[in-house]
Amino acid sequence: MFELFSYTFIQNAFMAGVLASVICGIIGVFVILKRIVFISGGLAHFSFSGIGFGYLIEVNPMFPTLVFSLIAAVAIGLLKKRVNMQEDSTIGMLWAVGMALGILFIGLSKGYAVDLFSYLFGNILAVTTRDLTIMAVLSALILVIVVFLYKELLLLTFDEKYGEVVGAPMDATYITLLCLIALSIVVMIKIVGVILVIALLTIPASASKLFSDNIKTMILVSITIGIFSSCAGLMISYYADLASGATIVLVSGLVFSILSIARYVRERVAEKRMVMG
Amino acid sequence: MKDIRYAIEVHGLWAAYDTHIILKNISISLEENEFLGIIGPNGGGKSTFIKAMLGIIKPRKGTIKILGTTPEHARKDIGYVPQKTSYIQDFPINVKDVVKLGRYGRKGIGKRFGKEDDKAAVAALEKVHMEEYAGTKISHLSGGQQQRVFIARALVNEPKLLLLDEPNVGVDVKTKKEFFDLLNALRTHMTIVLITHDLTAVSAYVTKIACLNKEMFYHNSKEIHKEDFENVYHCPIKLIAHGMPHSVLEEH
Repeated sequence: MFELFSYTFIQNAFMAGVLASVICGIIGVFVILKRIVFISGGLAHFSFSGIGFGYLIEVNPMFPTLVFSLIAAVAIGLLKKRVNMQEDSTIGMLWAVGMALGILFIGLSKGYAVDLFSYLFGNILAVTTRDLTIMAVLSALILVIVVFLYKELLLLTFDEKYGEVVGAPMDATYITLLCLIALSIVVMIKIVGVILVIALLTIPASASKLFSDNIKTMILVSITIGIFSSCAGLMISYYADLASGATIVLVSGLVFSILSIARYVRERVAEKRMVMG
Repeated sequence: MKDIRYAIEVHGLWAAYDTHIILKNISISLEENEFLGIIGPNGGGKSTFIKAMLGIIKPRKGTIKILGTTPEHARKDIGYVPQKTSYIQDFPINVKDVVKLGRYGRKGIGKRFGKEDDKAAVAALEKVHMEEYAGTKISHLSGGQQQRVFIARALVNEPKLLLLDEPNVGVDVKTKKEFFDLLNALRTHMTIVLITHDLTAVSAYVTKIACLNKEMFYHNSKEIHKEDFENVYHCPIKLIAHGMPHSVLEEH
């Protein structure tokens, strides 16, 4: 039944899924704990403008997307303190303006039949070896930064005000985290698409949070759930001939539901034991 | 003459956000090993005053000396207990790791916490009688227990000055008494400043009281004048508590 692994593009797809799961497992944990899912959503949609720009100037869309997302991440981080504006309205504007720019750029470009659908909803089967190399480099970079700034990220997500008092560079750490999210988005666009990036950042980490007592466990469990979901999703996609982005996200959603029920049952059992004993 | 050492010396302090004045010409001197209670309404500048003492915000005018030096230099000797953060909820972190965060100043970027940080964390937890919960997830503790953990985090560097910004003193009489007994035990070797908007939180344990509402009313005693209260709260004093003019909430 594993004849599918004889195809290079399938091998690439599985590799891409594993890399994306590692990135999401790490970054998603901080997104969930810092409660910035919607900022991440805003960044993901803004990155669409970079994709459009890539088509317009005829380069690999990954590069302009990277630049555009990083600029947006730094801008959000700087605006947070300096401008007296509601954060959710900033996110809403970023979201809409990014999409509009993307559409505009693609309309202006000379190419025909641009494969936009794969960027909106993902096409993991289109990942090239070169894409994989870029993804691997970015994953390594994210890993190094997270290990290096672990204490700062912990302070930022757990108690930012206290972090400032003990002299930790909280603003710089926040901007770094937003940039890491932007990097992760760029890495994942090809795999699940702009729209479903948010799902991969939130679902494995949320599921993992249900059972984790510390951040390191939460990250490891989150990575495991991501790898399981992307591999199972790919298999289903292959054998049932369904869109891979959708099957991957739906599998991880299913995993989250099962784990939620498991936790609920576990807590009820524990309560009963307390009452009885 | 006895050499008096001051934990806090503030002279003519003004602080503002943009054009909005928060603290107006504040002066206060507090000797070491005193227990100062600062009361005042919400928005009266209490948290700003604490931030000024920690050197997080710079005064527009005036001077601040903490433990005989600048707030920035003194920071490593200050233990800070922040307002209760409400979003702890399900955060995956255990008690010992929370306390270790207090050692951040000794480490800085790129260095990991080690064995000596573990030891210091356990020692700090012993001081607040929470050592048996070292491995417990913080969200599994009660509000009063969480407060003790945050005090342990402030104590982990063996501070000379402990600042408590509107701590959750506890709702019932027993928790409240335990909280103040703990502070009272600590007072033998450190200065304590407790800030609150809740008048009933200022117990008979404090040795000095100040009222803060933009301006500071302080008479280097634990007596509170009726006029001060009326100035600070802008309301008739009889609404606040019984037997007020002489002391605050001491048994009569």
